[in-house]
Parts: sequence; C-alpha cells; structure tokens
Amino acid sequence: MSSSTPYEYSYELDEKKSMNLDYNYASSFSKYKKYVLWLFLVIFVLFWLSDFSLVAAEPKVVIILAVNSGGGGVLKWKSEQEWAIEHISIANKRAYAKRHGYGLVIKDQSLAKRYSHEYREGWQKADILKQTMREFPKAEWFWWLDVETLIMEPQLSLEEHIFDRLDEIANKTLTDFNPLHIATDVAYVDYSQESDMLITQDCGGFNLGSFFLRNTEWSELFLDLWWDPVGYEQKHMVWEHREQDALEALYANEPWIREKIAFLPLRQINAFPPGACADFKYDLRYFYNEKAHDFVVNMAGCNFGRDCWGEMRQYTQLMQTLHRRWYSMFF
Amino acid sequence: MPFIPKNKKKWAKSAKVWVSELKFMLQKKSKFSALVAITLTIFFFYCLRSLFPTKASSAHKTPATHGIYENEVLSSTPLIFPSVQDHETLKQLGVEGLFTLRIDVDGNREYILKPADPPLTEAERKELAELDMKKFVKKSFSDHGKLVYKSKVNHPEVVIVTLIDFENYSLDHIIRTVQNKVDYAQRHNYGVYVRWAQEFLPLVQKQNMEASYEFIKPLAVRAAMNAFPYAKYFWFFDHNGLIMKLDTSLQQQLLEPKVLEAALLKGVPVTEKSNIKTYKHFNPKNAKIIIPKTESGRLDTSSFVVTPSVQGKAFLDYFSNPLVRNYPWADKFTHAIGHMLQWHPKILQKTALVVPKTIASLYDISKSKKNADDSDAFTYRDGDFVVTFSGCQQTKTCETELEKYYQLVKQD
Repeated sequence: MSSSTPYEYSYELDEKKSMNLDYNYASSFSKYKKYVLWLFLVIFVLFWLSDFSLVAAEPKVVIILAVNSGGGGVLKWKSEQEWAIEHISIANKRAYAKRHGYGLVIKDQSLAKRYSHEYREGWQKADILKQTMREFPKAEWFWWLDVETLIMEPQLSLEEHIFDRLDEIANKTLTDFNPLHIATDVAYVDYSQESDMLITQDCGGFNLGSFFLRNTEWSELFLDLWWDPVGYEQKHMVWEHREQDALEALYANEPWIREKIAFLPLRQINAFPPGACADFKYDLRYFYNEKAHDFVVNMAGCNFGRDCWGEMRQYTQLMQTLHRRWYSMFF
Repeated sequence: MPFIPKNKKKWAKSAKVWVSELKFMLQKKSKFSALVAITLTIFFFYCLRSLFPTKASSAHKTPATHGIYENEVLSSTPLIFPSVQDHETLKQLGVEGLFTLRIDVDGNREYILKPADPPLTEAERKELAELDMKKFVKKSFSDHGKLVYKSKVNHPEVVIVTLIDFENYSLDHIIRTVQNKVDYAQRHNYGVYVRWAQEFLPLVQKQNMEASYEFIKPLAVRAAMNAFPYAKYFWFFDHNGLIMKLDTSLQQQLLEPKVLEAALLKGVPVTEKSNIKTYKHFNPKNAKIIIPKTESGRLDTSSFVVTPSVQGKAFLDYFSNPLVRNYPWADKFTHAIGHMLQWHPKILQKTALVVPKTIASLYDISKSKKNADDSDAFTYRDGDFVVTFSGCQQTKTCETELEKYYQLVKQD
C-alpha cells in the first residue's frame, strides 16, 4: 500500500521547501523598507511630541523636605546628632515616597546671605516652593515637611488619608477651633471654592511644619504675594514666626486668600510630641496618639530646650514596634 | 395522592430552576434589560441614601458668601445708585450721625457699622418716610449697600463703579456726574454701581474723606463685584470725570484685544524712575487689570478696569489690607499700586498699562482753549472718549469744569 503513494507528491513538497530556504529575505525587506521607515518615523514623532514614555511619569505629589532650617551654613557647626536626625528623616520620607510613587525633593534651608536681613528671613519658604513648582510643573500637590518630622504610618497613601476625603476632614472656617481669635465671618469669602492650601493649627495658631499646596494659578499668585516688604517693614519686630505670622495676617485681611485655605486637624498630618504646646498638655487635639495611629509626628520646636535626637530616636523605635509583624521574629 | 395546589408548586421551585430561568430570561430579553434593572436598583438606593444626610456632608457647614452686610436686597435694575436728593439731609446728619461711634479705653474714636443690620421692607420704608425723615434717610443710606443685582438673564458685562461725596460736593455736581454714567450705561446695557464714599468710612482706619477717599476706591469695586456676580469687567470711574462720547462702548474703546494691544504700554517703567518695566511680550487677552499711565509716568487711579479674576480680587484685597493701606505712601493709592506692580511679577504679568487717551484723558487748564491742531496725546481734546478732572481739588474748579463739560457731552 505504501508503494501506491505517488512519489511525485513528496518530490513536489521537497521542491517547495528548497524554494523557501532559498528565498531572499533581504530583498523582501527592501520591498517593505519604505513602510518600515514610515512606521519608525511615526513612532519616533509620537514619542517626541507626546508625554508618553516608558520611564516613570512625573509624580502627582511631590514631598518637599526642608533641611538645615536652624540657621546652619557658615553660622553654625552641624552636630553629629543633627546629621543623624537628618539622615533618619530623609530615609523615612524616601521610603514613603518610593512606596507610593511620589516625588521627593530635599531643599537646603540654611541661611543664605540674601535672606540675612531680619525681615527677609521668611521669604525663603516661598522661594523654595516656587522653585519646586517650576521643577515639577505637572505635579498636582506639594507637601512641605520640616526635617524634624516622621511619617509614622507609611502604608497610608495621601489619597486615601487626605485628598479623597477632604470634605470629611478639612474645615474651611475657623468656627470650631480658633486659637488666634480671628474673625470667622468676613465679607466676600466664597467658601464653596476648592481648597488649594491645606494647613493645620496648633495651640499658638497656624503651623507650617507640614502643609499641602496645590499646583494652581492661585498658589503661584499667593506665593508671589506672601512676602511683601510693606508688611515686613512694619511687622518684623512683632512677627516672630515670620511667614506663619504673615500668612495669618493675609488670612485675616484678604478674602481671596481665605477662600482657598482649609484646615486639617493637627493630628491628621502634624501631630506633636508631648513636649510641644506644653501649656496645653491635657488637650488631646495636639498630641501624637499611637493607639489612634496618627499619620505624622512633628517634633516642632525641639531645638528650643528639648532633646531633638532623643525624641527622634524614641519615635523611630516606636514606629518599628508599631509595624512589627508576627513573622518578623523569624528574621 | 395528595393534592398539591398549582400556585404553591410554582413558587417552590428549586434554586437550580430559578437560576436556569434567570439565565433563559437574560438570553431572551438581552442583557440590556438586566442592566436597566440593576441601574434602577442602584438609583433607588442612591435616592434613599440622599434622604438621610451623612455625617460628612453636615460636619462642616460653611457660611454663604455675602458682602459687607450679611443681608442683601435684590435690585430690580442693573442701575444701582442712591437717592441723591437725600444729599441735604445727609449733610445735616454728617458722618457722626450716620454711624455708631465707638470709643475704647484708650480714647480711640472709631465709627463702626453693623454687618447684621436687617434691611427695611417696602411697607416699613413708606411708614418711616412719613414719620421721621432723618431716620428714613439714615436707614436708606445703610440699606443702599445691601443692593445686589443677581438676575442671570441680560446680566451686564460691564459695570461702571463711581463714588459720590455729599460732604464736599453740591447736589448739582452729583446729579450731573451720576446722570452721565447712567445715560452711558443705559445705551450699552451696562450696570452702574454708585455708592456714597462715606458708606465705606467705617471700613478704613483714617475715617475721613480727605485721607481715605483713594483707598475707598478698591473697596467700592470689591463691593460691586459682590453686587454683580456675573459681570466680566468693573470700570471704576471717578466722580470728577465725564464720559463724553456716549455712543462708544467700552469694548470698542478699550477692552477688545486688538484695541487694547494698540493702547498698551510695553517695556516702560512701571512708575516714574522705576527699574521695573512692563513686559515687552504681553498678550492683551491676559489682561486682568487695566490702568492708564499719565504723561509724567504716574498711574492714574481716577479710571481703571478690574476683572473679577483671581488676580483682580487679589489686586483689590491687597489695598484693603490695613498693613498696605496704612503704610505712609507719599501718593496714596497711586504709589501703593506702583509698589505692588514692582514687587509682585505675577500681578504685573496680568496688568495692562495703557495710554491715558483711552479711559482717562486729563483736562488741562492751560490748554482748555481748544486747539484743533493740538496733537497732544495725553490731555483731553474734542472727540475723546472721556475727560477726567484729576487735580481739580487743588484749584477748586471741579464743579465749574464738570458743569462746563457736561454741556458738551455728545448726546448722540
């Protein structure tokens, strides 16, 4: 039966195969060369013009960490402990930014000569923010953090902790908590506006150790108008917290500023250790509570008679215990 | 054989049967109807939920936007001006009769106004007008600030803001200046917002007209923005000035980007002898604030345009900040604006400095005899849009000049 299979058939098959092997691929490519080149050109132009890229896109949130804020520069020798604090603080923010895909910039706040006049010192914060806004034109939010802060709950993203529930946690007026006794109801303020700046208040008023600023036209204008020589010339002896006091004055007197600012509870982004706000030590609104898992602790003012290094070490250890898992005993 | 009722059997189907029947339904009636059913259910639950307000939405109640007074009175017309015939009574009452005077322990005297003051109803007004004229005038004076025009239909695009002064000017002068602005606004469907300048005295620290008139201007424009929430341009025009060509609209004269482009002063010092210059590349579409700059390089505050934008509001609020207002400026509002433009580039970026011919041709005493061939680009000549009498207070000729020019206004 096998002999009945036509020989010619297999022969033909072999003939085809050999033809295929012989086929000149190079010449067939040259046929389509034009199209391939066009395709390449189109893809190239698309990459060139569009925002698309294979590398990570620009972050939506950028954390600004200010270091060397206590004078520094040529005025002061940085101690070993200060180096250590800076190191821990930076590592903490870097891990957080990496985990959630945020950007992190570290800005040197040591006393530059151009700010050395007493009523110019407050200018620097606004300048750093402006600079960072230019560096990240596509970011949506900027989060300013002082160096003496620790993010205690790094698993929380800013979206789930803050941005997605602003209606719930942010307060646009001062009616609930008003340590400065600023007038709460003034003319022309449109509270229905979206908030572009999220700040907190401690026992002494506005606190800018940890705050958010949205990347908008309002924010740019605000940063431009925040520092004004007319105000500082009259008030530089009175405004000991410089830019904080200037912001309080702007908030109190200019409705266009007020309508864009919202207040978060201090413990939401800026909880204090027991040493700060010592006169109000029984007021639970200010102080870090590990059982409530407060997000950030800010050792504000620790270099005024308190032990910065001690506090930093204490909270770093606490953070480690809080995030210890049952399986960590094996490592 | 036990009897099983038919309908009971129907409902006692096993789960399998239900599922298979549902599957059949889905296939038969297509997935669309199922989607509709799911949507309706979700919508129903959503409606149910909105009936019970959640904690979050009621947690932080924010007050509604209001002007200096918490209450407002809806105006039926976009032409808002006070009853000028009260002039004589107001003069008799004086500022001390119109506001409450508060003297603190240090002996500081300060006039205050009551933001929560309720407005009179129409019936109460009629009653009070017959009973006590003085009280009626006083109440009308404070109620005038509560007027707002909120009709979205046919809302004016431009609002002319003017301040009038019963202490230093006669009734005739006030009638002429207000009439001129109303005539103009009516032709072009604009709004008019005239306030007694004295209404704003409790809001400033130096509570007299001489010291504070200039800084009441930004307060008045801000009040106008509240009174006309949908207008696009607010043109402050001083009471010592007249619109001479009533048939030219402000858009034709200044606001249209092409016209504005031609009138722009680019690359010139912001104020006299300033190192800061206006931008050479300025897109007239970006202009949020328009200020004329005179021959001598002075910013003219007798006539300027502000839009209700972030920049416009920031501009006005800046001068209403006591720290700025009470700074010892050599030339009050003019120098304060100059300072702001020099120190704050974000404002300068949106501010158009323009030639004064556009909205602030200054009358010139020396050249008041009209020379037809006079090609002066700064002072008023026949055919100019407006004439302003800045500086007339020094020569005390405001009223006579205004009267003279009022006769020359081209009625058509």
